[in-house]
Amino acid sequence: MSRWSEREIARKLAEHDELEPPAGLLEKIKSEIPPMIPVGTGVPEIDRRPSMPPRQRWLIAASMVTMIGAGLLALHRTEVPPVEETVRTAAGARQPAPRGVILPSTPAAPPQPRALTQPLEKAPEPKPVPQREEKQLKSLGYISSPEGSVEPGAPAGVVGGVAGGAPAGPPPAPSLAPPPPPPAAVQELADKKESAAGTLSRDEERRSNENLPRSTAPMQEAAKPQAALRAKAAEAEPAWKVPSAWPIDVRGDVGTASYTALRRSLGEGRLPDPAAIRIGEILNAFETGGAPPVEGAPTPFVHGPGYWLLRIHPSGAGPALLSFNPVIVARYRLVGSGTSALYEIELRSDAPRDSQVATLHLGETGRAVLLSDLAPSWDKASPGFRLAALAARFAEVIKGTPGDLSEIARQATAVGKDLPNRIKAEDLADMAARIQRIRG
Amino acid sequence: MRSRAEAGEEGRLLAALAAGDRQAAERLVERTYRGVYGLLRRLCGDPDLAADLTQDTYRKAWDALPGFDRRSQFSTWLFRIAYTTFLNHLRRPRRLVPLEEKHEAAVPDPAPGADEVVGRDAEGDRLRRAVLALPDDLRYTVTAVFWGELPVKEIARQEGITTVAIRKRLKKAFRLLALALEEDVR
Repeated sequence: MSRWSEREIARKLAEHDELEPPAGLLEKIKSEIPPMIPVGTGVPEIDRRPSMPPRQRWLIAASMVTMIGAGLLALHRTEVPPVEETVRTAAGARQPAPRGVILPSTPAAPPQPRALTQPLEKAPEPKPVPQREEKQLKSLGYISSPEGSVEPGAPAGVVGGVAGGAPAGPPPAPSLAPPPPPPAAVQELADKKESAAGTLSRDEERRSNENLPRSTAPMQEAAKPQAALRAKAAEAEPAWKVPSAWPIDVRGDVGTASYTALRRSLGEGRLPDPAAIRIGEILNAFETGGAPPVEGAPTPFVHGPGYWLLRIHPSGAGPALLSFNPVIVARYRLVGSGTSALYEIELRSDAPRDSQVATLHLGETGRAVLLSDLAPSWDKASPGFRLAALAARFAEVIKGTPGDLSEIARQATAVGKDLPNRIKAEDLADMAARIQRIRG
Repeated sequence: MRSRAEAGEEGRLLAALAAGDRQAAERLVERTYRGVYGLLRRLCGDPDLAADLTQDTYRKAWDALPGFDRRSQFSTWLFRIAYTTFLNHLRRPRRLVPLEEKHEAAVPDPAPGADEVVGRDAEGDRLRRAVLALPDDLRYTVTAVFWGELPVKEIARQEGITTVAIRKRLKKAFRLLALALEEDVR
């Protein structure tokens, strides 16, 4: 018999002497922490289901296949009556014929699938989420409601006119949180569910995808018409968000289809369909090339200091993720994302000039975006950046945000003078002026 | 055993680190360095070497952090780095000391005498050597469970196997350790 039983070995292994680290080790380790540590951009833990051993996965898959198969078989058997029963039912429907009289045979009506014979049922109302859970979900970025997406106490009317343009009067309230559509409009939208689903903004869809855990993807597919309604209602003005720990994917639309559609409708002398305009695609159309990865400047489109525009231009095919520093950035909104993404941010009032606004991860490298990296004023920003900002603003105005198109045209003409090739700037000015004329 | 709250705290610190908060890195070190040192101390049996290897571990961790995919907890990932750092140290070729230099080393060693150490730690040291002689998968499992104090579930997730398989590994390791220790006594 061995002196070392398994229990004895386990006990011996689990014995813990006080292994106090030597004095000064903590300081040594701390002193070696590099000034900038890029962190891996894997899926956050809470967002991920625990991994499952392959054998268990196979068992679950096999069980599911069996259950689905059995369900289908049962459904088939209940919906298609046996042949004898069909004949009997058909015969019972007729009056018994006297002997010797031959009745013309009437074919039995084919059995209708149950689902088709019953009237469509209304989907059950979703249970209200308890307040505490809702708060937690919001804090994790899983859900966003119109009122939750705007920081309380945020100044209203940030999307008035272009600074220096005509005074916009009292700031329009719906600029931050679009009001819910009137019942008639909702009904109309409900009637057009299918078409709305087709015209769902890719920007909006991507944003909602970002905020949902992976496991809800099938449910999201099922709820697409409702999502389309919500998206259509909120499309006019993307919501402001409070920065969270979750990094944002900055990659967006590719192509310039919205620009082509816009040009075509203007050529025909009519206003474009606002729902068909994707800001990301308009941004792509007015890309001038050679943009740095990060660029920014105070926005000229809002009243009051602290509002900045930030353009992220990821090059290469790797992941491009952005996380705003909640200490400095009070809130942010995605204006549009194409090959570059344009964000509007509101800085906290006491943000020093050398503060870090965000962290940008391009591929496996991360870099800090400092306020001092951005242009101190709109006029000092690069012409490419200004043109992109004007183009995005132009698209927003087309989509329903209040704004002065003639001022956009004037600014675009001014930017064109600073660009080596002024064609795009003049094109933007021309389109803004034409829409202004059509609107009268 | 790490609680869910602790794991959540690690996640928050990592998020802060991603946002450029250097103090988060310091907090992560404060939370983990005792465990890393303890593990390395048990693995190598030498306090000075364990301290050096602990510093090495963190250097490597900062370099490797961009590749951290969060499949496991940060502390589990750090444990794996510490374990690999120790193995690499074992595999590193030793510096050859000239004979004269060896003879000249007449400085008194403040450490306890050999007899004292052997008398006190002989059993523990035999066990340590026996653990290090285990096959790699068993050795990692034993050290992770007992010296790294990692939850079995977490090790299973990192290794991509079930918790039952981890327990089987432990059982097998105990059998081998019992054999090795018996032979050592003879």
